[in-house]
Amino acid sequence: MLKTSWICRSCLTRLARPAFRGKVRLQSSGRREACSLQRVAHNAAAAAPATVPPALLTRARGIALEHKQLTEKLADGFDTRAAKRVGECGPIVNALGEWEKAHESAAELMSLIQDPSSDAELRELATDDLGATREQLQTASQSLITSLVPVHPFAHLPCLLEIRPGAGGSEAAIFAGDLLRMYQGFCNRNGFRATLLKYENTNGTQEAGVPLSEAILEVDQENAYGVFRCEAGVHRVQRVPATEKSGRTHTSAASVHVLPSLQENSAASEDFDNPESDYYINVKEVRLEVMRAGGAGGQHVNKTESAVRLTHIPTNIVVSMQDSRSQIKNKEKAWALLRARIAQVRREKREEEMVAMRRSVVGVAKMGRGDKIRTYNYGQQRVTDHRSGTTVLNLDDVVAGGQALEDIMESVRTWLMEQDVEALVAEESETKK
Amino acid sequence: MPRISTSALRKAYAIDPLLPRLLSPCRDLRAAQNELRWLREHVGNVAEARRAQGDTISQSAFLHDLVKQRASGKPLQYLVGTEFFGDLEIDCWPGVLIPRQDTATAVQRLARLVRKAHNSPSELRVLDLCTGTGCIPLLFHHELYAARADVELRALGIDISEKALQLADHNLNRLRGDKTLADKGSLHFLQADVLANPFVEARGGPGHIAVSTALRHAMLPHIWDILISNPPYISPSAYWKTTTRSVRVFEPKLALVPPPPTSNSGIAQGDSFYPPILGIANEVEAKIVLLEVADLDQALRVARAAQALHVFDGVEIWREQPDEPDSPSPEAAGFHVLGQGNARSVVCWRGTGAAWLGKRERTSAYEDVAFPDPSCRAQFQIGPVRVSHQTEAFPYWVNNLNQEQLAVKHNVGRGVGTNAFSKQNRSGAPGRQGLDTTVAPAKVHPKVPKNRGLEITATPETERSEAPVGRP
Ligand SMILES: C[S@@+](CC[C@H](N)C(=O)[O-])C[C@H]1O[C@@H](n2cnc3c(N)ncnc32)[C@H](O)[C@@H]1O
Repeated sequence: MLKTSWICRSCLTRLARPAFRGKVRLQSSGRREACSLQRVAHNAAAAAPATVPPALLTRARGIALEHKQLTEKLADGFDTRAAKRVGECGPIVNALGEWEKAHESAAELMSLIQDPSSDAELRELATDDLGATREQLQTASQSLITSLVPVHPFAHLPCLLEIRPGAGGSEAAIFAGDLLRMYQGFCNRNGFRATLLKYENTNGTQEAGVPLSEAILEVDQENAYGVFRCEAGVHRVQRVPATEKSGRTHTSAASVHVLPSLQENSAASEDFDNPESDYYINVKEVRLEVMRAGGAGGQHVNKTESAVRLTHIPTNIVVSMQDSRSQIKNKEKAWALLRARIAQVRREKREEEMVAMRRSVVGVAKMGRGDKIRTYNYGQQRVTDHRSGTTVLNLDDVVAGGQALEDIMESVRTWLMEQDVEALVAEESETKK
Repeated sequence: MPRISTSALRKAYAIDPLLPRLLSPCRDLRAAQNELRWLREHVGNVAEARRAQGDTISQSAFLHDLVKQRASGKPLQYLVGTEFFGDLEIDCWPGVLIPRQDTATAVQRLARLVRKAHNSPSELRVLDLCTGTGCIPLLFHHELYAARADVELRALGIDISEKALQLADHNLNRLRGDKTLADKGSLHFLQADVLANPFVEARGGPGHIAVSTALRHAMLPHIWDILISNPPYISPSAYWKTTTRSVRVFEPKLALVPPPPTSNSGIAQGDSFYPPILGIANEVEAKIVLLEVADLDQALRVARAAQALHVFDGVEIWREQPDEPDSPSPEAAGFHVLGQGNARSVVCWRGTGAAWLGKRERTSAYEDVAFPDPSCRAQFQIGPVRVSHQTEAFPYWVNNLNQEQLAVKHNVGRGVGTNAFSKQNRSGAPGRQGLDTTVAPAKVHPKVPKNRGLEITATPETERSEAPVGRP
């Protein structure tokens, strides 16, 4: 048998499939640093051998078979559904082919080495080769695994980041503002176009240090949802607030919601009319209220209010928008936001069902709202992500949206991928039963 | 105006020292904060524009000055120089009324209905009386071409005010220049007095010629498909009681309050514009008429007057938010009142206009009606108004027609091409297109005077012509 080798999976996953296409620089030095940090946190259970779990291999072979049959069917005549499926399966079939090749040559070498009848010189040569072949096999294994993990259906979309203060009074509100600037810095540094869709602090300006009540940042960049998805959840801060005279450390929190953003004119906009889509909203179920001046209206007043409020009656989700002088613009923004929120609710419900199904096999931590995901400790100048277990000691760079933040986010994406693989294995062995 | 409490002032001050001054023109803290932000943005934009020209300004002094002016009640739209009207940002100048959201809502709704119509004419003509900034024809143009390319729009805005016309032209050039408006159709503005009687010598000056005369002089068509108007409609008493101070002090009274009636017509001063406008609508053979009004009472007076002309197949009332579910209107006297909010417009249609509005086309009822009033003036009489007939969207006489009566058809329409510029008989003229109106045969309502002319040119002051109806 092959000797199992233990490696830092995150490095391999990254090689196999970059978490996102796009402009985020993948600095090798930065990554290595992240890996060494992770080593501390990784426990043996989380890291798995670089072989392909038998359940996944079975799944891949099943898909390869389906692929073959569909290809034959396509030879007879065109069928869009089949063609689409063949396209989807392609990468898996290729990865499986690579893996089988690597697996075969490794097995051949092993039998050569272990066969006492083989020539001594030949055995030496084979032993020399074995290292490289094993490496190939590991790479192929990882590619195969990652090709099986479904890409998040919204990963390619731009996204909305909603930031709100949580527990902790005005200190929480100040921290919410810090998070906003962190993400703005991150976008700026990576060349993502980010627009403040909504910004509300108690004084209507954007000065730093003024408590923030709600901000919505739109990141208008392909794949932004894939990049920022891992930021959703409760961010906790531990520090001595500027307003605290006695010098005691406070703990407060701010929440971040991440929604994929579908603009009216984006490619997926036909989804708006498709009742199957998460983004479908029956217009009749939405109550629109525009701010009226009250009183006589018409020529009698020259009001400037243009606030718009939308209520989705079945879910009672309410969004209101009043930032622009143009009522139409407020209406558009409100609709975009309402769509995103409703889609998020629907998706979460589905995901919860999935999670419940998987949980019976493996405990998969649900990510998203409610859970504390990360701590920013100013006293110790460290940031710890509670999901990947990664800690970086460069807090300033994190909150400036620098490389250190990117490293943390990357570690979470890797963690997410591991969760996905585990879930996949669980699912596969479930269906086999 | 209620005085602002000290605590509110203190709270505002804590947020921004400039805010307390904005509390009095704005309704609340929220609104004041928004306005302050918009003023700041404006200052930033101006400063940037100046910098590009190698000039610098003191932003804080500029902002302080704007806040001071706003605190005195000067409308924000005059300070920052624009107002949003639907999708369009319209330039605003002191001396010309600031466009209102309600107007945009109604115009947008109308344009969106019309652009959906399958039987729209290849050339669609829209006439806007009392055009002000020109916002109505500009928005109609924008909305139409956002969805249609196969219609040639010819829009004309008319106003008495020189300054309004300059601003309308300026807005047109700016929006065409920055490509907000599609380079299609034609848009023009023209000076005329909606109240002038075409049969009376102009009171002097080019600003006082009648609409029909001005159209003739400018060699413009005398037939228009859609007539829209947001005329001055505030009575002198409502002017003092109901308008806000900012409106009274800073917006032109000419745009808000009609002049006192010349003769002893019995028409309320706030209503002065509607009889002549309905007369013009009739003259230009408008298939759809959209008139803005102050409230439900005025809406009902206008709706009855329109009905009493007996040229329209239907009359309804739109509230401020016409697309929302209807709120109950017990006092609507048989008129369908759409949506929510204050009653804001009266909409009339006839012939193909019904289909353009997405309504089932009904028979023409022009000739088949009783004329309880010699002119529509009686409907504006002050005092209790007689409500004669209660039907839903259609006048009672339409409901009296049976299927067999609906069977005979004849063509009614307007000329095309160069023909359109010469006055012609509406009925059965050659080269008409698409305007197919069904007219009942001779069996008529007992009280009805027969063969009422379709060529009705009556304004309230003139006699109806009694030309016989052409039949196929
Ligand atoms: C209420 S404003 C409407 C402006 C514009 N249509 C809007 O909706 O914002 C009325 C306009 O009617 C114009 N006006 C007043 N008297 C008029 C008259 N006798 N003939 C034509 N226009 C007149 C005023 O100059 C003013 O621009």
